[in-house]
Amino acid sequence: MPLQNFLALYAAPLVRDPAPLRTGDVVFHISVDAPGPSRRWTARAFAHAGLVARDLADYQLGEPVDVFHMGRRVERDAWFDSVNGSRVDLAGRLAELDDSVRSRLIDKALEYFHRRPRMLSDHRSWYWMGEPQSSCHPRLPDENSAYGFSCSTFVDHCYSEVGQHLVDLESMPLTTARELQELRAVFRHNTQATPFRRLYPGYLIGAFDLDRYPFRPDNWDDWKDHGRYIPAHMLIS
Amino acid sequence: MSTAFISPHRKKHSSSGLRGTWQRAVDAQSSNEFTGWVVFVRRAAEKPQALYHRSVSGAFSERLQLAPTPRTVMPIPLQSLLECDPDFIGEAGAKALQWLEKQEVEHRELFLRRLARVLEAEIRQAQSVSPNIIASVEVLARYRASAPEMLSLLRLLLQERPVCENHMYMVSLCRDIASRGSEHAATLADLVESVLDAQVQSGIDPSVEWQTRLVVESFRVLSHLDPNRAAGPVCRWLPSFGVLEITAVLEEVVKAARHDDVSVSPELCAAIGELWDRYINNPALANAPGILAKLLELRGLSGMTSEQLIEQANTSHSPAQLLYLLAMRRPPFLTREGKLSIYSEAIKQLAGSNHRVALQQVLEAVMKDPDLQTKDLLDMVSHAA
Repeated sequence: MPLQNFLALYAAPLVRDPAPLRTGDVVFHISVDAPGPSRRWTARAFAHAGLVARDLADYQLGEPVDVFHMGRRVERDAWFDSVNGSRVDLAGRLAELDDSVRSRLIDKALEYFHRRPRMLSDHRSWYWMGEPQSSCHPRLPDENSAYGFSCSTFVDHCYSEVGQHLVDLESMPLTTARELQELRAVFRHNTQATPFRRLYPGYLIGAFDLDRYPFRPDNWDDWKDHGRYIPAHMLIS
Repeated sequence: MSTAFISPHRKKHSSSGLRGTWQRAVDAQSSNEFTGWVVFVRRAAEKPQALYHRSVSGAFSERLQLAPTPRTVMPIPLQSLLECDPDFIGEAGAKALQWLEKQEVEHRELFLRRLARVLEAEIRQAQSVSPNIIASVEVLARYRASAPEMLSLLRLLLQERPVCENHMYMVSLCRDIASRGSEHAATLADLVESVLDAQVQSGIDPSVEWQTRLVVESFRVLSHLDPNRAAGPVCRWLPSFGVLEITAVLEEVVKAARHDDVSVSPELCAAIGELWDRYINNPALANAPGILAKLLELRGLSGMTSEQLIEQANTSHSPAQLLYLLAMRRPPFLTREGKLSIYSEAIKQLAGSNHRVALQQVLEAVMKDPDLQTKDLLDMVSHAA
């Protein structure tokens, strides 16, 4: 199955099959545990995406998974905590991606992981909510080994580097003035000032859900909301 | 005695006023008439006793210890960088650079020379060097990378022991100070190697990020300054590195070894053997195929023929994967015949393993290779079939 929904599997444990995670799979964190004794979830305001760093034989919701992802920088973390960190709620797999290409994908991700140390730029986030930049950062004009990605543009960039295009980036709609304002309120100066084609994690999820690449839906707005992947009876809105 | 005085009661001050104070201090110092000064300290409310100093000697020497270097007569943006909360170093550094950019060249040179003197004095006096000082050295290096004081500052910082996070930043700066064959390349490479030796001998904790980054950066700098060093005896440390840093380190060693005038050292050969055994026996380690492909290329650079490389790849868990990764790296050491045999074997193995996407990419790579022709591609495909 191109998209594994571990929230749904958790909610219906009797039908659960072993679900391995493979190196290079795209993983998403879309929910937060709601407070209280019964386990329910709310949708995260912003979904997070990353790449599985190494195979895991049989994943269950909440187990630690090694993931490369774009936080302040490209980082490698164990995802297991929905509240203080990240957790693998969904996993997308490109069925035709063979082991050889998967290993090259991770080799590419590692190129960004080992950035040049600079005191002046280490204390600044390289996150970039805008057109992805693979060799510079708009806010760090003097830094010649920088990059600027959001979590989803980083994932998409690594896939395109090994010849796989998950989403038709050119067809995506431009952000509206209101969306830009909202993004600037959250990501502040790390947001592009002019309208850009924002790659929502929901588009990546949609690509795997429909198993259609590059993803080019009729109505992009329908795919922005990742909350739809939380089982309705477990969702606290 | 010449004195420059700004009233401590002036809470608001213009930058031109401070610049004037600074300029008078510099003028007095340069004409050898300077025996003391009065400085205005912006944080008067926090440290009233350090509000001002009337002399650098005599009765005020105790007060002077509160301001051991004349950083307070620096221009505000540079002073802010030296004194800000480390969490805001990035912003303070950007402002300092913007401010310096706006200055006339002569003035900027004066400010930077002054900054260099302040930094040297502070580094000599400090028990531990603050991140602010490191950031200021980086600002200085933007404009005065080739100045003698940069080498002197780097020497001071890199010789400091024990090795700490600061070393990572200073090692990185060496790339800006010198390049291969330049005057100071050998000196800096010596310093970097001694930092790396000290750190490896005291142990590298994979959970401490700066230690792993220091290792990677040291090899990058060595490769930049002197590729022979990056592929030389320092490679004896390669087996000590963990899975996260070894990928980037090997990439640098490969880059260094690709130079025509660089020979693979016995230490590197021994390390390749040890690492090969480790990763071939543990294919589940992160990025094991990528690491093995780099080792395979290093073996090729150390003189193995394409047939021997294929033989090596066949001992791995997934020869198809390894040959694909090697082929996609387009190793420059291979002759036309060598390329033919590597590509042919990769195509054969990938077709046999049903790695269709990888197979397609290798075929595309063959088509783009200027040394090969369409006939070669047909031969390879028929060989694979």
